[in-house]
Parts: sequence; structure tokens; C-alpha cells
Amino acid sequence: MEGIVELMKKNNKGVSKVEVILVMILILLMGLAVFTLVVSSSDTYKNVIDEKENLSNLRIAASYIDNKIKQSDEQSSIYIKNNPINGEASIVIVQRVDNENYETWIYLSDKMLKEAYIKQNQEFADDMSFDIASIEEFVPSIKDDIMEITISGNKASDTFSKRYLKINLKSNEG
Amino acid sequence: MKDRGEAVLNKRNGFTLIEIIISIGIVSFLSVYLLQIFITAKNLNEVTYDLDNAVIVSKSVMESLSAGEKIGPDSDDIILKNARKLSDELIYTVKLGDDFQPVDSDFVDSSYIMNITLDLVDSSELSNMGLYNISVDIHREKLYFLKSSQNKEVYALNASKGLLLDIGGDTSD
Repeated sequence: MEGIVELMKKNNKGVSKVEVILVMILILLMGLAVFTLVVSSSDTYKNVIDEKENLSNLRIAASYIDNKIKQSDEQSSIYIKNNPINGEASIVIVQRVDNENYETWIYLSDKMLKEAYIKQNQEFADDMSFDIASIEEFVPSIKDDIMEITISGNKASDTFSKRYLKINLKSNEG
Repeated sequence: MKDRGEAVLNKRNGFTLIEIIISIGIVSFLSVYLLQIFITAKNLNEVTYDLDNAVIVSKSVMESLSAGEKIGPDSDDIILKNARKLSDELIYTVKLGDDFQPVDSDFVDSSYIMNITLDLVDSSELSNMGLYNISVDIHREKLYFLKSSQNKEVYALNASKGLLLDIGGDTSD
């Protein structure tokens, strides 16, 4: 060991304390930069994906409701009723098939927009329906032949996630 | 002992300053590309948001008009209520905020502008109805993040509808 120190003093080839500290600071800085980059990238990626999914769910819900209502071209076949599952307002579309009335219920349950197709006056449970899209709010109302529907997605989302749909029910009259 | 000391000095296991500077350079270079990817993704999400809302708002306006709603302060529709007539022709403008809901027409920094153009094709004096070509277009006023192009058309919807001839008076202030 003495020999090494002697040699370092002689050749002046050693590493000074300042150099060691400088290198350690640089390594620390680089480590911090890489860590910050990885953490912020993963956060941003997660946010972008969540936002995309939220927009996609809202688009599916809006398009589905619009199509369903436009498809029912019989006069006075669309109503707003409270569903028996959670008592919230739902859209009910009545269709007559083979001299029998069938109802399509579009309602919100467990933050999921669902559809159930049942015989009129038949009792229905949540497991008789299928999922359409994941949304947080679904408020339908009818005013002067215009159906107004408010849907909203993930409330924690960055962008405004409310959509206000209006559908003219008079144009459905055959 | 001297030989051993020389061997220790010649053996370099650590990073040199150059190596660390190059590493930092590579990390910075990668972070710039990553940032660019995320900015593009954010802007694309915003384009999707604009288009989704523009389609819904335009369709809602068209549905309200076909249901007999007037354009102007007498309207029950919040968008048509805030429409202001631009000229003698039947061109109406509505300023919209970030949430695609109408803002005050005097508000300068609106996010979107909606133009509703009505063009009379055929009128019937007996039924007081007229066939109109209706055009609804929405333009984005605010800039996308780190982009310089402005006033980009988001969506345009055209349709022919039979409307009541009394479609509302001059609503300009």
C-alpha cells in the first residue's frame, strides 16, 4: 500500500478527491435523470392511455344510443322509465315482433351502460343485460319531442368528459 | 510491491468523464424523442376530443333545427340561443368554450367557433315551410400544444331540412 502511495506521489497519476466527487455527482445526476425520465414517461403513457380509453367509451356510448333510437322508427315507441335495478332513469324502446311487444332497456348500472332485451312486462335482472361501454353518468330526458341525453366518462380525466346528445324523436315518426 | 502498485494504477474499472458525458448526451437525446412522442399522443387525443364533440354538437344542432327550434334568443336550445347573425345572409355564429358549450359572444378567447349557414332552396307559402340547405361547421381557435397552425376546421355537417320560414330575427348586438 505504501508502494502505491509512493508511486502516485512520484508519477502524479492518481485520482484527486475533487475528481472522485465530481464523477460521483455526475453519476448521481445521470441516475436521477434516467429515473425521472422513466417515471414521468410511464405516468404520461398511463395518462394518455386512460384518456384514450375514456374518449373511446364516450364515443361508443354516444354512437350506440344515437343508432338505437334512430333505428326505432315506430311512432311513440321510445320512453324514459326508471329501471327496476337501481331506480335510475333509462331509455325504453318498444318493438312489436310476431304480435308480441318487446322492450329494449338502455340503462346505467355499476358505472357501465347496459342493454337488456326483454318481453314487455317481464321482470328483468342485471344479469339479463350486456355491457355497452364504461361511463359514469347517463341522464336521459324528453322535452318537446327532443330527447336530451347527458353522458360523462371518467371524472378524473383531464379533458371535459361530458357529452350532451340531442335526438329529434319527431323524425322517427313513420 | 512497486509492480503491484503500477498494475493497480493501470487497471481502470471506473467511468471516465467522457463516458459519463456521452451517457448523459444519449439520455438527453432519448428524452427529447420520448417527449416528442408524448406531445404527439397528447395532441392526437385532443384532435379526437375535438372531433367527438364537434360531431355530437353539430348533430344536436341539426336535430334541434329539424324539430322546429328557432335560432336566436327565443330558442330553448342553448347553442341556438347564443347564435349571432353575421350578415344579411342567413349565417349565424356561436362561440364555444373548451367544453363545447356556448360562451358570451363578446368573449375574445373562445376555443371553438361554430358557423350555421342556412340556404333557402324552395319555399312553400301554404305551409309556411321552406327547404333549406343547412351547413354546420366548427373551427378550432386555440392552438394545439407546440403547434402554430390556427383556425383549423374540426368538422362540417351538411343536410337539407324543411324548416319553418320564421327562423328568428336579427340577433346581432
